Amino acid sequence: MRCEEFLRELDESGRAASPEARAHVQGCPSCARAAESWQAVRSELQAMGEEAPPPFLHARVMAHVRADAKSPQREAWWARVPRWAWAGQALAVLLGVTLAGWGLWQGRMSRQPGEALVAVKAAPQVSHDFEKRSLGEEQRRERAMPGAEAPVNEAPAVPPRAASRQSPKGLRGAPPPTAAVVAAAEPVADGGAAGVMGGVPAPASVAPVEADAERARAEGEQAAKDERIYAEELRVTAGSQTVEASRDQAAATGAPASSDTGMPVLGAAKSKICDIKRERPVLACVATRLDAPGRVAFWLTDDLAPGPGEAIVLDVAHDGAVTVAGDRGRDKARADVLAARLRDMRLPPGRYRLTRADP
Amino acid sequence: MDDTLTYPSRMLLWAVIARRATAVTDQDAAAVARARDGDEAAFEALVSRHEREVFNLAWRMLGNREDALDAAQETFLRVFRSLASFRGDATFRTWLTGIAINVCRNRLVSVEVRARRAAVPLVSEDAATGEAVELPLPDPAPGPDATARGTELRRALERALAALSPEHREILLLHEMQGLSYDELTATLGCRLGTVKSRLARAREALRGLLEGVWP
Repeated sequence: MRCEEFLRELDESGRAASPEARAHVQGCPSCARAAESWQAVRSELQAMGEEAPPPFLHARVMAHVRADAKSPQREAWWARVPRWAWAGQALAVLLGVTLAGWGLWQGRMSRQPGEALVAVKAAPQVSHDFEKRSLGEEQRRERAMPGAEAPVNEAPAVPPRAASRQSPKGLRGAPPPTAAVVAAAEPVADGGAAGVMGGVPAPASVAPVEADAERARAEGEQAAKDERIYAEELRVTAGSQTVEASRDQAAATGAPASSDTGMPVLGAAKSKICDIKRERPVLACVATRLDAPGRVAFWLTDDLAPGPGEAIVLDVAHDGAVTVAGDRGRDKARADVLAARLRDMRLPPGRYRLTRADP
Repeated sequence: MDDTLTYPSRMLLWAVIARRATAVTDQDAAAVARARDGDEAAFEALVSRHEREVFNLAWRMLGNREDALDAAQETFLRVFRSLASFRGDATFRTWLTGIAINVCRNRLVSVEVRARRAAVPLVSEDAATGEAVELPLPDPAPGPDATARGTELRRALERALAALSPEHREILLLHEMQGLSYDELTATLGCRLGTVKSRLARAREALRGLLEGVWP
């Protein structure tokens, strides 16, 4: 047996199992060493499995289990929905399917060559304009023109709601489109729709270009304003962001808010962010070097972070081990967890004072 | 099971394993049945019996004790919530281990995503100039053992495990640390015996390669 074959068998079975392998080990010091060291590795792996968990794990697990047992969410989600809600939802679905089918059927019945393009282009504009326009504007339109003919300097004031209701009837009764109707309807919002809805060919000047441009500009400004408001609400709403989203936002803006200490607090105007996935608040903390210049900022969950006004002294050894001194160090379980967390951060060796960034 | 066994011998070995597996699960089966009926003490007994191995598996998979605590807690909570769906096709221990592995896999994916985003840069401030100095990102691989048992092999093994792919790490831990047999591995990981064997062989080879020059 060659050394490569021996090592392959060692990998496949974890030991020198076959007679050939055992014989090879007798005569090959290198493979004997490999087998011996692999046995030591296996023993060490088994020893790793014997580490005792922290004593509070059991209590924590049972506390969560008991809370879960009492939680109404223990029921399957569909069992919690009342029957009348199921019936209502079924009715709504049936109604929606019926209306959609009726709408399709109406569209198919009323479509004629040349009209389809006008109807398709006009209808979406009606619903879009309805959502964006203010009440005052709608009233102005209603007062301006209930009929089909539009004034020269103003778009036809048929309210979009009325226009949408009239849509099928207007199309059904409409005469074959003239060139004026088609030309007027294409670039225009509800002006063209109004012209077609009324069943009467609209005049060519149904919607002046200037009025449409002004309306489009106003709508664009309103949409941009809505977006800014929404973005602002999203930014300041606590509990609606994950830590990652807040950090991404900080990176995008390039100017994170600073705490009272002057240290940049990563990612948010507020120092307390709820991490939805972990369901545990995280707090910005600062570790200030006591034996050299420098400070470090990072996040800690609220059960590990110092209390308001509290300062925890830490010693970080050269091998990375962290020792929690003082009163916090007397609570060994929490100190161990905190030390483990800080060790994972690989702080430079030294002595630190750990406080909240926003006391 | 060894592929070199004859068919009758293999069937006999299956029967022995099944009998032994049944003997092992009798202890858990009774507690599981009582826990399903709402006996909290029975579930607590299951937790006490298995929390050590769940915690150690999570710790070695995830690399730090805090995440291991969360993962162990989440594992038992999932077990509690889905006790009614445990059909007894596999042993309770196998089923529990499968859930623990899934929890760890999900957390590893989450950790990798966050590490890629460089979510937590450590920023230090130079007291003299007031300029922010960015420290190196924390190493996602686990550091030295928390309790610092101090053996050179333990440290080398921890670093090597962290450097392994999650797939290799989990099968090594399940087989070498937890002592799961090939049959239990196929049930836990949901793959065939041949896949288990080849994956285990590759994992051992990878670990040996990482330890070469470091240990002995």
